[in-house]
Amino acid sequence: MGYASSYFYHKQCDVNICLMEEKMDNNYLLRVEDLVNNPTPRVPICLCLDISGSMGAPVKNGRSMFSGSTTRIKELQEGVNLFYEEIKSDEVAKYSAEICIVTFNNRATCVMDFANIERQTSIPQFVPAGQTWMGEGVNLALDLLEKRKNEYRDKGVDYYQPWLVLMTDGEANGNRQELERAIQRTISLERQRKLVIFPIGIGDETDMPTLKRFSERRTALKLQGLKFQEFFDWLSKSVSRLSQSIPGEAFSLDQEGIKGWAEL
Amino acid sequence: MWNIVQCSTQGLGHIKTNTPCQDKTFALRFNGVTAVALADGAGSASLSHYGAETVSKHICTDIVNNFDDYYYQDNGAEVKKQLVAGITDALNAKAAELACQTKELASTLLAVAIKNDCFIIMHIGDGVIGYCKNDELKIASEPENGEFTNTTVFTTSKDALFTMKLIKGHLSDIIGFILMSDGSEASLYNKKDKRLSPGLKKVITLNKTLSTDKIQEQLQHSFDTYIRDATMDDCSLVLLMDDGDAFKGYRHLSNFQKCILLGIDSETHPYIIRQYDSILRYAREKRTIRQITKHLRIKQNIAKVRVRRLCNLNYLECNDDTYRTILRL
Repeated sequence: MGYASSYFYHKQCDVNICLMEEKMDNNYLLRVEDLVNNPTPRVPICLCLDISGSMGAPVKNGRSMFSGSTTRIKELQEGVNLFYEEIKSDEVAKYSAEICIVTFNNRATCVMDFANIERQTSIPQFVPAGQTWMGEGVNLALDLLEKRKNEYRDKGVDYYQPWLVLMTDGEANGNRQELERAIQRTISLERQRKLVIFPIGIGDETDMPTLKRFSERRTALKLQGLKFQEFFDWLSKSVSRLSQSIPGEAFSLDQEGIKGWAEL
Repeated sequence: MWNIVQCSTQGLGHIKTNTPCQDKTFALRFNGVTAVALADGAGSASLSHYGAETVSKHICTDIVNNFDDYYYQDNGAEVKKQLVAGITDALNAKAAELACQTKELASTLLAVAIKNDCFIIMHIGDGVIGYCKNDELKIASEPENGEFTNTTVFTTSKDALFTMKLIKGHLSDIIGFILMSDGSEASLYNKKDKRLSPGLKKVITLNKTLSTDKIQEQLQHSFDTYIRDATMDDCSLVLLMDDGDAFKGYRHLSNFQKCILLGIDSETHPYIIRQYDSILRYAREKRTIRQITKHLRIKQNIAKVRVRRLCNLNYLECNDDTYRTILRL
């Protein structure tokens, strides 16, 4: 009897009857319990932030020193806090965005590793000191992004191109080879459309020519004054739009010989 | 007989931006061939809904007209070239008609065609093609997504020919084919385990006992609610299902067969089976619980239990607290 195979499905009906008590007028062929639960596609974002000594210098902002002067690091801190709050308040982005923070001065440090944003309850305080080892910072950021992608692949989680946000107010004075390696890596990944990078300069002392070398597709931008909050607001909205995006352009694959018929 | 069900729904993202649904489906029976197709327009291509419509119609027409030529051609690479050339010509013609560039019509494309005991499957881009064989759901063609979730191959891509999947074979014990767009994958395809939702097997099985129109209606209802809510993307599904010709109607079944269909113990007392018989017959017209209770002369809570089971099995449909039989009697 051709339809006897329905027997196994029907055995589950007793379990499903209790669900039907609540919704008796829903003529659905596929119900909630039939749906698969796939994880939300992720967008991994690394904030690679300069916390060298110059970021702690007082900055004139039109107010007197006794009533509201500020420092770049303080404004950066508030901008990052705002970024987290905006992402957490977005119904779609909060399940999609995963943020990691790398800081660099005399060393490159991961101060906040990737995790679900709701578990990242305490944003680390940035303490300005030391030099500007930008190459080391970017290389660490790229390593962490690559590691996160591997974890996604292992767990069968879909993901978008990773984002790297590089913010600095000075001139890279770490290891020259590390800087060149970092630049080559970002350029290579960008050319393969495997990375989205935002190089952002802070203040007038930024080495913009070096910053511009990190991206061929996106011009390095100088932050207007101390408009960190505006920048991070834009960034969070961009993440939100990406989280809600629909599949886009084609991509290039390595050419290979055309295969013939396949079989089941 | 092979029955066809097609569902598609505009995604929440497109509702917000007032963009038309870019998923299109098509089916064609001609020349002893049954062909179905599904195409998902590229989000970045402004006229991709036209492209999706064009290629889904074209591929069905092409395969029904040339099934034997394609099937019996041993050189699969040659068949791929012919298929892609036909798709390209169709898109170029549409582009000329719309005065646009061909790339504005980009879409994915999934298709299945059967003739007698033979089938052909073709697939460009993301989305999934599955099948049901020996009571098991299997994957015939996985999504072509590349590394990132928002990238895929389209009919207009230079890599379409190289990445296209083309499969042929004998139907043997295959009783159904499933084509779905990537929007539907969110709810109906486990990406980690690469498995289809068991709910799809339920639908293919119900095809033997319910009318195709009823399956179409209730599946669309699911798509317009649960399936759509699980993603921002358009969602679509095509099912090609063999009803086996074995089920002649509920009233032709023995008590033992009825027990299997109703999912009740085969030792169930015949009077209980008669209650189900009576409900299904009586509810050919819309009836309330009270009417059913009175007609069967049983307690209302017993009637409710019987009705709930039948609703859960999709043999009764419920609207505004009235019930109607949709199982083929």
